[in-house]
Amino acid sequence: MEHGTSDTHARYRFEMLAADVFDPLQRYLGRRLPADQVDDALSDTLLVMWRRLDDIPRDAALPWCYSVARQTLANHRRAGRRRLALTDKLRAQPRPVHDETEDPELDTALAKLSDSDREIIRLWAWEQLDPREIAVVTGLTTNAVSLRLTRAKKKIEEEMARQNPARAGHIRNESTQEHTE
Amino acid sequence: MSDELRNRIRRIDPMGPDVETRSVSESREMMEAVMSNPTNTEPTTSHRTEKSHQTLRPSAATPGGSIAISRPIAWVAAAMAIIVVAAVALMNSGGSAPLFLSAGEADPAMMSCIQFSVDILSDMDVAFEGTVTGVDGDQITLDVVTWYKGGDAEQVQITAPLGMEALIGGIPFEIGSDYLVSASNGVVSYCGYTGVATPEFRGAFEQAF
Repeated sequence: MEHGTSDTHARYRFEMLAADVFDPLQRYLGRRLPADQVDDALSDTLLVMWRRLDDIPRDAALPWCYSVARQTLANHRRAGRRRLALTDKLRAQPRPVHDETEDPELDTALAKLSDSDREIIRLWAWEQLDPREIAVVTGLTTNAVSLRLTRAKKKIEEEMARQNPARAGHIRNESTQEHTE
Repeated sequence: MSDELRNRIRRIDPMGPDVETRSVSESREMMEAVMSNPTNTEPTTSHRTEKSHQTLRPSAATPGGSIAISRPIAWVAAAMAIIVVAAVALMNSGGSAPLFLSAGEADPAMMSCIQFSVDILSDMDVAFEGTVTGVDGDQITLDVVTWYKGGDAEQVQITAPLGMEALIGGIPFEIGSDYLVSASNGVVSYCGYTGVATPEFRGAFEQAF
């Protein structure tokens, strides 16, 4: 009976949590995985959340769930690469999920960032997280996230200004480097 | 400049707000499969001990209070805190002193969060039928008509989360009306397990306890 009560309580808490993070997690995964893999990754993420229900921090539940999803993503990508190797490489390498958008300038600028800086930018712009929350997701310190976020934003602005100088009058050219392109 | 950049990056979001996602209720199979696994919620974990030191005001005890209200995380945190709070209240009640319960979080989207079953109802540790004798701010007082389980108090007081006073858990508590209430770990189970005392609902309580 004791177990039953505890189980009911856990279900209750989990249902409440799931109702809140179900949509953001699907978006997070959908942004980073092919559509046909999202459900599997979502299910794996929910399972970790369920198993670790007592570990979920009350003040950072959603970022914590994103960090679990992030780990799940890494596992799925590894599995995806193994599948590709086995299926005789239909493509030379896995293509990015979303490789073309209607903003080629921004695409190019984002492509020039390191993987981890690009992810910080995505978490900031797409998941709408602040540096403290991004720190929970990535395992970096809040300070490190803030610095990298500032640096990455500057790099994007500069790269877009380089591509389209006419539209970038408001960006001060703080760099003394010559344009080499 | 930062906002402008953020908006520009949001415009290339492949999962922007116009893209639909599935709801929890459309994914019952996945949820049930997940919850068929063992979890780590055992009463002996250190988290439980820590929880017993929380204060009685749900909002004040919510660490997520510093986060913008519009963000979904804020109410998850609030919900967690309320669960915590109620556990304390239950421990403090005994004998014929009033029993204190928390109304938990109220979100209309959660109204069908657990499919009703008598088995789940019978797992609740508090169950009674009572008449509402007072609604005062965030406090609802019920005079107990029948105890099914978990107490012998003549009165039960339910504390609503701040801002949710008018409609606790989607249930409009009205003075003079009878309600069947169940609770687990001190939190009222409003998701189909608490409501106006109809003959059918009373039948379910009688069957469960």
